[in-house]
Amino acid sequence: MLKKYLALLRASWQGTLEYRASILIYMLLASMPLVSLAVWLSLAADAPIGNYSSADFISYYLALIFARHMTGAWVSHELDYLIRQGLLSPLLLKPINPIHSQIAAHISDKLFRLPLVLTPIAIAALLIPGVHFDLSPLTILLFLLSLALTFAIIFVSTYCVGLLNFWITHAEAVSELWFGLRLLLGGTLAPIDLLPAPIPQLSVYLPFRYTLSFPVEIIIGRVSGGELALGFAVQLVWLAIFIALYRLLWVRGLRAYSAVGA
Amino acid sequence: MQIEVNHLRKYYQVHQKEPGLLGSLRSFVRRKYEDVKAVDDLTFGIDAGEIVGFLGPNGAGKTTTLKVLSGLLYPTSGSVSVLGFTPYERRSAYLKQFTLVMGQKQQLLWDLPAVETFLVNKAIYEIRDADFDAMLHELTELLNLEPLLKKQVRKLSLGERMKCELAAALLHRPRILFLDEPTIGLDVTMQTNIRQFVAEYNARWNATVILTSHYMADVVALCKRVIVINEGHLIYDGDLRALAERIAPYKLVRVDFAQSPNGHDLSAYGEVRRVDGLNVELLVPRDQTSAITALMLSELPVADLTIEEPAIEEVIGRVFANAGVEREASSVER
Repeated sequence: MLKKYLALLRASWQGTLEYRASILIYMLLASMPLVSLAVWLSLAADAPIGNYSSADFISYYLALIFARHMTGAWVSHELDYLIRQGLLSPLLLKPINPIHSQIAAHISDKLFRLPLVLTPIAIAALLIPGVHFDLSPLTILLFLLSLALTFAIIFVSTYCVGLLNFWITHAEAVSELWFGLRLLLGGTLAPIDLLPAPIPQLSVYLPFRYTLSFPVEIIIGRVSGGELALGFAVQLVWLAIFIALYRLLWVRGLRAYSAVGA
Repeated sequence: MQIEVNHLRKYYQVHQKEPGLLGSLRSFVRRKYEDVKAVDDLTFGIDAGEIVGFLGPNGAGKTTTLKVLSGLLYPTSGSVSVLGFTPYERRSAYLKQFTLVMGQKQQLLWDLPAVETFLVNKAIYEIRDADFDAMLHELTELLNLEPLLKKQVRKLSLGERMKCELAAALLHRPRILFLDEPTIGLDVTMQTNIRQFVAEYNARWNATVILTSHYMADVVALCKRVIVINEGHLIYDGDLRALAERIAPYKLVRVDFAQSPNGHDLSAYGEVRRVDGLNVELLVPRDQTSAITALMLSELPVADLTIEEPAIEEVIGRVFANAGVEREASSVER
C-alpha cells in the first residue's frame, strides 16, 4: 500500500505543480478570514470583547488561517464532476479504491501550501506585538494530531457529500450548506465562545468545532485538561461516524450508479 | 469456458422528462421512471484465446454487456462468470486480469505525460519491475509510442491519445480484453495498426478478446466468431462467414464483357452495383445464381464471369439498415 501511495503522491505532486498558479489564487481565497479579523479588530479597538483582546484576535485568526489551509478539502466538486461525466467508471476498473488517489492529491496540495502559508504567518507572529502561541512540544504535538483529525473529518464528510451525486444530480447545494454551517459554527466568522448561548456549550458535541476551531483553540492555549481530552474523544467519534457513513454511501451508491448505467 | 453468461438481463430505470418548462416542472414534482431492457435474456460462452466480435446496432446492449462483464453493472437477473469470478464483486484479483477500453478520455492523467500514468498503474496493479519494463518496451514498439511518452497527454492528438490509452490498459498484461469501439475516431492507418496490435497480443498471450466496432473491417480482420444482438436479444452466435451466407440473400457476380453490352438491360439480371467500362458487378439472388449466370452467358457477350460472396461488412451493414435500427453513430450507446 505504501508503494501505491508513493506512486499516487508522485503523480499528484506533479499535477499540483502544473496548477501552481491557480493554487496560489485558491490560497488567497482561503485567507478570507482576514476579513473577519479586520471586523473583530475594529470592534475590539477600545476594549476586549469577551475574553479576546486585539492581540488575541490576531493570534486566533493567524492560527485559524493556517489550520484552514492545512485541512481544506474540495473532493465533493471532484466527485460531482467524476460521477456526472461518467468518469468514475474507468476508476472503478482499477484494483484500488478511487478514494486513495483523492487522498494523495490532498496530501500533495498540503505539502505545497505548507511553506507558503507558514512563512508569512511566522513573520506576522514575530512582528506583531502581543501575538502568542503555546509552542511547548506537547501542545505542538496535540495541535498536529487534532489538525490531522480535523483534515480527516473534513475530507471524509466532504467525500460523503460528493457521493450524494449518486442519487441527486449536482449535490453542490448540499456541499454549500455543509460549508456554510462550518463557516458559521466552526469558528471562522467568530470564535465559538463569542457566539450566543447555548451554541458554545452545544458545540462541544456538534461536529462543526472539530472541522476547524478545535486545533486552533489548542495552539492558542485556550483548551486544556479534561476539556482537551473530551474534545479529542468527540473528534474521534465524529470521524468514526463519518467513516461509517462513507462506507454505507459508497456501497449503496455504487448500486445506484449501476442502476442508471454506470 | 472462460466467460460464461447465462440468461443475463439488465434493465435500467430511466427518468422520463417531457420537453419544455412545464415538463421540467412536472418531472420535478413527480418523476416518472421507465424500465429500459438493455439486455434481455442473453446467454453465451467464450473460451480462452478466442476473439469474438460483438455486433449489433446502437442501443442493442453491447456496451451494457461489457459493463456487466467488467463488474461496473449488477445484473438485474441471470448469472455471469469470468475466470471463475463474479464480476460485480470487483475483487482485486479479478480487476488485475482484464481490461476494458471504452473510447476516449479514460484513465490517462490529463496534465502529465502518459508515462506518469503508466508508473501509477505499475504501482496499483503491482507489476514487477522486470515485467513492467518488458511490457512497456513491447507496447512502445508495437504502438510506436516512443515520441509520445514524454508529451503531456492534453497535447496529444486523438489517435496518439488512443494509443497511449491502449498501452495504459494493457501494461498489467490482462488475460481478457473488452474493447468497446477501440478504433473510433482514428484514421485508417491507425485503425490498421490497432487491429494488427490486437491480433498480435491475442496470439502472443493467448488472450481472450471481445470487440465491438462500428468499423466492420475491424471485425472482419480479427474475429472468426461473432455474436450479434439486437434490442438486448441474441440473434446470432457463430462463424462470421456462415453469418454472411445466412443473412446475405444474394451473391456478387463479376462480369467482363468482350464488347459493350449496349442494347441489353443489365438490371433484368440483377441489381447493378458498379459499371466500369466493360467490367460490371451485379448482385444476384442466391437461389437463382446458376440460372441467371447461365442466362447471361447465353444472351450477353461475356468474356469472363466470376461468382463471389459479397463483402461481409456490406452484408451486415445492410441487415442493420434494413431492420431500420441503425441510428446515428454518435448517439449515446447503452
